Amino acid sequence: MISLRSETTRNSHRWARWLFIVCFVANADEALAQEVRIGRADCSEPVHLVARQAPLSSVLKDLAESLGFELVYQSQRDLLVTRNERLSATDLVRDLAHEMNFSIEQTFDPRCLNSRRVAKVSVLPDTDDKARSTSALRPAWQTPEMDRIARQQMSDYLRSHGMEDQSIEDIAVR
Amino acid sequence: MGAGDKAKPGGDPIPFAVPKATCGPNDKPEAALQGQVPATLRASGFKGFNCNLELIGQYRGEGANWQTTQFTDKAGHRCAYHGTASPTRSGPGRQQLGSRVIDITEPTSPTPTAYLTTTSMLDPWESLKVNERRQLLAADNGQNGAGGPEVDIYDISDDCRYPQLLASLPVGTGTDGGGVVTPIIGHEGAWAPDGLTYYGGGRVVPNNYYAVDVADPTKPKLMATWNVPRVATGGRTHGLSVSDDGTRGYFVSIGSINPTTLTDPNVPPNNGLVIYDLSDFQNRAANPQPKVIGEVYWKDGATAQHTIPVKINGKPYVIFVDEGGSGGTTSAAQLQAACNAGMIPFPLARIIDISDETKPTVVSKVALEVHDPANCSKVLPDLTGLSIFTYGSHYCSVDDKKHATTLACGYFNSGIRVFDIRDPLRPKEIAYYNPAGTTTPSAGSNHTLGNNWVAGGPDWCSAQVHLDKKSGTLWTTCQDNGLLMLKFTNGVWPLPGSNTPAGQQN
Repeated sequence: MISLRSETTRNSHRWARWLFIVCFVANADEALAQEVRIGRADCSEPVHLVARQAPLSSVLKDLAESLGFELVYQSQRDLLVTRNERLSATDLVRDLAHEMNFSIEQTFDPRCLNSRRVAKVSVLPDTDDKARSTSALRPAWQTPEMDRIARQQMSDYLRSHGMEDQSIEDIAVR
Repeated sequence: MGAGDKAKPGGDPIPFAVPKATCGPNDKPEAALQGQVPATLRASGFKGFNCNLELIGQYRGEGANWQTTQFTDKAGHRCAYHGTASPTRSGPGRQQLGSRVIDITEPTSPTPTAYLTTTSMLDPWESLKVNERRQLLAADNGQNGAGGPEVDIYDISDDCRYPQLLASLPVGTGTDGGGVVTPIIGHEGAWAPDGLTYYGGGRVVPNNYYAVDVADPTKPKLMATWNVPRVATGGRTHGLSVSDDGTRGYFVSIGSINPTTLTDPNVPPNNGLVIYDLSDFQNRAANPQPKVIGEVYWKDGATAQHTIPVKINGKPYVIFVDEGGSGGTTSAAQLQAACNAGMIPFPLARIIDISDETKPTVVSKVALEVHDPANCSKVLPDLTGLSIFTYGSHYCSVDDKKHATTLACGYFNSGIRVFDIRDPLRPKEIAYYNPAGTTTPSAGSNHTLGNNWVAGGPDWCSAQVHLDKKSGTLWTTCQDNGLLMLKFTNGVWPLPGSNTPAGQQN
């Protein structure tokens, strides 16, 4: 694995612009290739990520090694990621992890004017075993109980703000 | 007149929408109208927009709900506080109920330090407020419309990261020692700046504002309750603010005109601003009552949210923010009625001149392109299946109430937006940040209200924004993304003359 963090010269930055890190992991069960490619650009330029059916932990690990940040991955879940996009490093990490309970720490990047780099990404433990076990079948929030709560909240809101109680279906934009 | 109106009498035409921010080369600017997240981007999973603001820190946790407040203690700890959904209105998998205390001293690594789980703090709804002078944090028991008469007060003077409970007690039930027996109902709330009185706005029943004596913060007691002037025609209570000397109150009259009567000249408006003389409360007079000094109402907005008294170039104004558009809070019928009438379909902020406090006058509206009724056909398709708030405003803040140059607001689907208000008739947008949608709702968010959370759709950014000149940052919460720390880029802020003294933002 090549660490781009160690690049300090203008030449090496230029060289890194088109560097891609490629790793293929055979998946015998599904006969699918898991692929992660990371194109790192200078300073505030976007990072190009290409991933196909790759575990989130692997993608973040490769990003961490490429971009030089610390990764703490404590979730029991490991979603499969398929992406082909160019985003800033921060936005890319947020986009990848936004279904998880995560935090990002950033710090100034002394190599670049007016720029920051991601210093640490923590993907925290999942919040509920039950939610975890059902997530593969149906999102945990999509339940009759949540529908009841959604309707109760609407009713609370309307009545508390001087309006007549109405059903969601009556007031939703069609 | 001003932005938000088509023309200024006797002067140059003013565009309906405020001028757009000019973004930098590394920004991801909006793809369509100002404030819009088009249906195609929602369907494919909204990835977010930014202009002159970049994310430098985030704490999603279990999300957030309606509002935020902050305090910096004597040791220099900077603390963020925000509410989360009540226990009975939360999503599955809640790990930790209550209001969050988050250490944001280091902006890039927001860190939770405490969870406040006393009665009111389980969901303070829109009442969680810091009093700077007495270094107190208070809330009433909102519970998103299902709360009761409690007021909770914490001491945050020693270490703001670990608030110390002073009171969590019912008010107005006959046991508080105040002698006034009308149980309060939590919803909105705000301090008098001297920290001796906490005012609140309740729910429809009993539909009153109330003043609570908190001179002894361990024994809050009710002083009085009252209704808004237009209660007979549907005026209700909600947010409020108090002048620095404590003698003036800028209270909203929350009105919801039925969409079918939006243009009926025989149905008067009941949504607007009421300026009260609060001297009786400030001076602790016997049998205190507020006195109405001035009022102004309108029909091109509804469900009034809150106010901020400010001075701009030495002249007094009130920043006033609605939560509903023309004809009521967002709904299919309301949007159609507003659009048919050529009136503003979504709520926005407006600036009200109070130089003559007996005749408060709206001088400008901080409108985005999505608010222009001429754009109804372009924006309504974005909202199919949604039923509330959408492109509307909720809370705003300024940099310095005593010398305001900057207005920063949360718009549910349009993200965080920052405006230059040095010319209050012609506000200009200088930056925005609309975070990416989430693929699951946060368990402590209220975005699932009415099934309005949609996978990949834009978040609900509904909370106060806190500007900080020293670091060139702002922080706020959006309901599913949680706490966001953003840094201004491309030199757009601070503006000349901007300052952010403690306790002067909202």
